[in-house]
Amino acid sequence: MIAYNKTSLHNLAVVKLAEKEYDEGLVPEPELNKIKAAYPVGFYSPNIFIRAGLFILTCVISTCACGFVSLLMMETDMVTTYGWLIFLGILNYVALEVIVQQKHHFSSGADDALLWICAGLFTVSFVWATDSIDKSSNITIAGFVFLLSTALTLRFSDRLQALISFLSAAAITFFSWQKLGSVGLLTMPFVLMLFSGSSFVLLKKIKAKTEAHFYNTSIAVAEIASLILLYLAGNYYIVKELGDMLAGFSSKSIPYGGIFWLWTMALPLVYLFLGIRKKKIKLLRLGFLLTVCSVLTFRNYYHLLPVEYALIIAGIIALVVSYLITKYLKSPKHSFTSVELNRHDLAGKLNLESLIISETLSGTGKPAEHENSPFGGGKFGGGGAEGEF
Amino acid sequence: MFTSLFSRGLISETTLKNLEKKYASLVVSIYWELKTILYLGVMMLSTGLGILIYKNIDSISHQVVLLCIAGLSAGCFVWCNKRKHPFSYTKVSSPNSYFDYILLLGTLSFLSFLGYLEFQYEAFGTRYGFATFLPMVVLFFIAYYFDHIGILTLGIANLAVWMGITVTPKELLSKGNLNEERIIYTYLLLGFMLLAAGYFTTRRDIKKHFFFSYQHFGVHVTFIALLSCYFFYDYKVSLLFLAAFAGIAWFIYTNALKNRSFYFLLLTVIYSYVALSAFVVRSLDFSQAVSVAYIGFLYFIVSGIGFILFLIDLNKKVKAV
Repeated sequence: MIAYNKTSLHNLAVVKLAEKEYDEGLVPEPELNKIKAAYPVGFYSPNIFIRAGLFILTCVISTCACGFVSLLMMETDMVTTYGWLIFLGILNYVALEVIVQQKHHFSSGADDALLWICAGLFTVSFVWATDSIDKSSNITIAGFVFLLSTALTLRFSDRLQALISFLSAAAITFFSWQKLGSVGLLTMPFVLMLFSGSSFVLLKKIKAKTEAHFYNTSIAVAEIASLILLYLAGNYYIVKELGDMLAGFSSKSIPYGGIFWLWTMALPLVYLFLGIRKKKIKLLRLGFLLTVCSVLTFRNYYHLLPVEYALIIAGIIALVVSYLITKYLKSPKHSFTSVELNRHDLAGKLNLESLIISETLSGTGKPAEHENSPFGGGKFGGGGAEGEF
Repeated sequence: MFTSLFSRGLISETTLKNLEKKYASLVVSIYWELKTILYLGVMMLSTGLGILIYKNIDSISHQVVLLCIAGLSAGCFVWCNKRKHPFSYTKVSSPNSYFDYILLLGTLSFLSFLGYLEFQYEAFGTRYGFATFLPMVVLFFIAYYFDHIGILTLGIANLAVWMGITVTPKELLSKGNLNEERIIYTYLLLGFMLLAAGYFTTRRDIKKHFFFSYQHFGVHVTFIALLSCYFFYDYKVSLLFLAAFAGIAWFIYTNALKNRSFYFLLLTVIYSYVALSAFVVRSLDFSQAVSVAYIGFLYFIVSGIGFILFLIDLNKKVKAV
């Protein structure tokens, strides 16, 4: 089923684990080298920079090769049909199979690019085909995308395809339930909650199977997506605004509003709690992010404070909390620590933090636009973000 | 898993013991999460203070606000100055994990303070140049004095603002109006300045770890400016810039190869590919024949494969060194 060499995949998992322990200083270097020699990985998977380069170049080549072939066939009428796109998709797929099977590329950038291109071509041609035969409906398109992305996930264990597969399944649920009319709309949040909750349980079950361990990363992505959807399906803002949009009017409040408020407030805390309890760092991060979402949702409906005081207070709280936690966890307590365990990581190497600072803050220190003008009369010409003057 | 590695004789007994100990009482590090929260806190606090100034600029309390912000900034700097490790031309590690953020908070509130002074009292006159020059100097000073890379990049961005342009990639792509001769040359000058700064940083051994920041902005700005020059001028004149591009690309390429930096190698390769392709397309454009389209596509296919092989080879070469 999976396109990659299974022994290599298994060896890669072993080597990666050993490398992680090496980074944390638990496996000495000679032993790491021994492990690497005993578990050879036959894949070509270069580092992130080469991968990005290969990705871009493969996109260029694929586009131009498609253009070239189309140009050769210009005389015939074939080029202007959806069948031609299927043909181009097949060409890309064959190229993908060749570089995976013959050249042993694995997440090299080239295979990522070809995978996305052929998935895109197939989807567009399907939409085109159903459109020309019959008015295409959302459900059939979502169904096709689901089948395609699931097949590609099974074959290439690609995280993005796994995500698309999950989202298209959610879309199928959504569109079919929508057909029920107003009853469907009213119960939509609960159906989506049910969908994401049950898919989370299902994914957990699949993960437990031994045959599934090549798909660990794909399953993890789908799991996180299902947890996010579980939250969004009951988030007060989403339920209200999406409900209004679909029903075509704007409502003051929504039925069972209390339930959704409870859901919005409680679920992130549940995630946080479970993350701490089970020592799952991803769940912890997700809980934190969704807590922020919930606070923003609340602020959207109840303005307790003007934005600047809210920002200042939130900023001080964030500073104090992180200061206290850092102090408290200096030596590990309750299996958590504030000390960095990993010795080398990419974010540090790239100075990612400094780039984020320059991207988010480079606006500071810029004087307001009008200062240069000879008419200094107006007190608050430009630059004011609030517009209250 | 590790027991099987042990039974195959790949890891020693002490290693296995250590690993078992680790997994028996698994400890999770939330180092990056805490750092993110710290950063968000600094962001929110300084943004909130900025808005507060704007809102109260007209009321009586603005002097109080001003005083508070000056106090906050001064407090941060005093705290940092007390805690900091002694100055050195090499990398100085921060004494603790919140040091960097307190410093950032102090710097940002200081910038708000300066901006406010300028806005309310026109303390530095109406000359645009000086109002941006002062923050820039302060930023560079803080960056070197306290050894803070984030503030260095802020300083670089401010240098660009002082010159009347912008360097962050987002703005460069969205707002950068690269069709005026004067602006393009300003970019080019800035790019050269940054590259030179990066060069001397390593050459003179002054804060060697600042090299990346200078080089990162320098490479992007220089390449984009040169490419803009290339597109700006007529065919024959533009060849001059192509030659300049080739020279600088070669310089950065050899430098990156020496430092084994994949990032700058990739940047050089991609920008060179864009330059080469632009040249080919422009040259082909002279002929109006349909067959040119075939040649164009063929060029992209062949050159794409060529560059891929080159990248793969480069990867091996750098790894082998």
